[in-house]
Amino acid sequence: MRHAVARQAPAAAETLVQTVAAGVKYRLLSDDDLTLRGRLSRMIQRTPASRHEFWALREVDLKFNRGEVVGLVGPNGSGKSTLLRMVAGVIEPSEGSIQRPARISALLEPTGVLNASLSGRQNAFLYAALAAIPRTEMAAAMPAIEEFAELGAFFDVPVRTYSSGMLARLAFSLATQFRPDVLLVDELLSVGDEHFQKKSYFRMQKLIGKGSLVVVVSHNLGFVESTCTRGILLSGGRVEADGNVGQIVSAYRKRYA
Amino acid sequence: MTRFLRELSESGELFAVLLRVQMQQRYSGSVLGLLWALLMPMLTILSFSIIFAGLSGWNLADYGVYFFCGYVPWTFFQASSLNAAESLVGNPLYVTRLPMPSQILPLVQVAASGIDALIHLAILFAIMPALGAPFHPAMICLPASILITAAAGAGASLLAAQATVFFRDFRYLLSSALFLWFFFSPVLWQPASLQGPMREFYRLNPAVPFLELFQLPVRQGVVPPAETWILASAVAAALCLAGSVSFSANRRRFYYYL
Repeated sequence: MRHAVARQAPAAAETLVQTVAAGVKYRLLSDDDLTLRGRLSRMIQRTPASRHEFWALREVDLKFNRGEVVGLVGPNGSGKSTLLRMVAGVIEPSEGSIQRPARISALLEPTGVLNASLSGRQNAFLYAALAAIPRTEMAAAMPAIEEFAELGAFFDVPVRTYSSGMLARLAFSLATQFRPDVLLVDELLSVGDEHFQKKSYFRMQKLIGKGSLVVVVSHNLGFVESTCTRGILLSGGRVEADGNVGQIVSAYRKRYA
Repeated sequence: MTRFLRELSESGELFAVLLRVQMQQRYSGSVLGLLWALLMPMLTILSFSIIFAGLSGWNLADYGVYFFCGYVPWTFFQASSLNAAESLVGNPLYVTRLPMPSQILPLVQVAASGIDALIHLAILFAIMPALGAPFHPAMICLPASILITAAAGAGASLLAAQATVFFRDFRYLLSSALFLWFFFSPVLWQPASLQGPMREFYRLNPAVPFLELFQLPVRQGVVPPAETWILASAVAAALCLAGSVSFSANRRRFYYYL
């Protein structure tokens, strides 16, 4: 059930991402589903394939506008990350539809995308290629990234030697350097120390000032409340409430905390 | 399908960076670096040549050149498809966390194997004088031979990458099949040594025209006949078509299997 919370965005705001009755269905796959051997033995024994399906998202109607900083909140398994991945374009809706711009900067599990055997600097070029940022642009931005990430001499050392906080700082610096139209962040900001969280907060504010759309998934409610302009509460794959971030966060706290 | 090609044409820089990362990891990761890349084929060719030339009573130098000519395209194709089979399941986060065209990943493996193939060819050219094998004008056609083999490798790599996403044990099946196929293909043995009906049947092996694109110009000094070019191109085109059409159709489902 959707709470009656007024939308914050003014009517004239430019919509960058829109979902219409979008849903994502996962099929739970066992090892037998993923091997030829398993499939064959099933065929011979005439046991039907397992059909454990569940909807990670259902009937999601949302509009994301330029200039908004949206915080997605909800308990584990509520569909926050799936929604973010659908917006990022790595997963297509199983039903309904989604419209999104061609270029989206997504920071979804950034540590997984960084290549452990490359240095911070080399990873920056790899990231630029993955995010379709021209090499010359990345080279020009390199001093700023190096400074913001505060890695010192580690910037030229393979990232496998980094601590998780260092990795997060590098990834955040890379993803927020280029003012993308849409920036998606999945549980990243809570990793850095307080000093870096302050810095990232100001960096976010700057991005917003440039008219970007930022969508954040975080369990750090304090951060969501202070950074976001709009909150969306997800529960069981459905949008339960959408509107003023303060109201959304307190609604979430009342129900789940 | 048009999206598949458009994304490829727009991703030249990403392709180059991923290829560079791949080559860096392969060749600068160890002390011997590039030397490993030279050592492995040299050892393979030397040991196989000594054993098989000895068994067949064939002149060792001539056998070495013949085997090397087949070894280059064979290894190119085999390494492309086997490494491509790992390319999506080995980098699941690229597919499930980044909005990037995933067809790049298997194709980078083809390019990397292509660079290896060029290194192998360079070794062959370097040792040919020592083996008493002359350079022939017909060898001018080798760039075309490499391109057609690369196309076949690209198609096969797209197929292998998808198949491994849906069936994780496909790579073992593929490497076993390639191993068997190697011995049924005229790389170690010459077609002239076949007896009876096999003399005609061996040509049904789709690897044969590809091997001839290298064996005929380098060892015999003749440009392969039109029939060989057409057959190899047809097989390569069919693989490319099957690979890219099925990849376009299946890519939306990769996420759920990775």
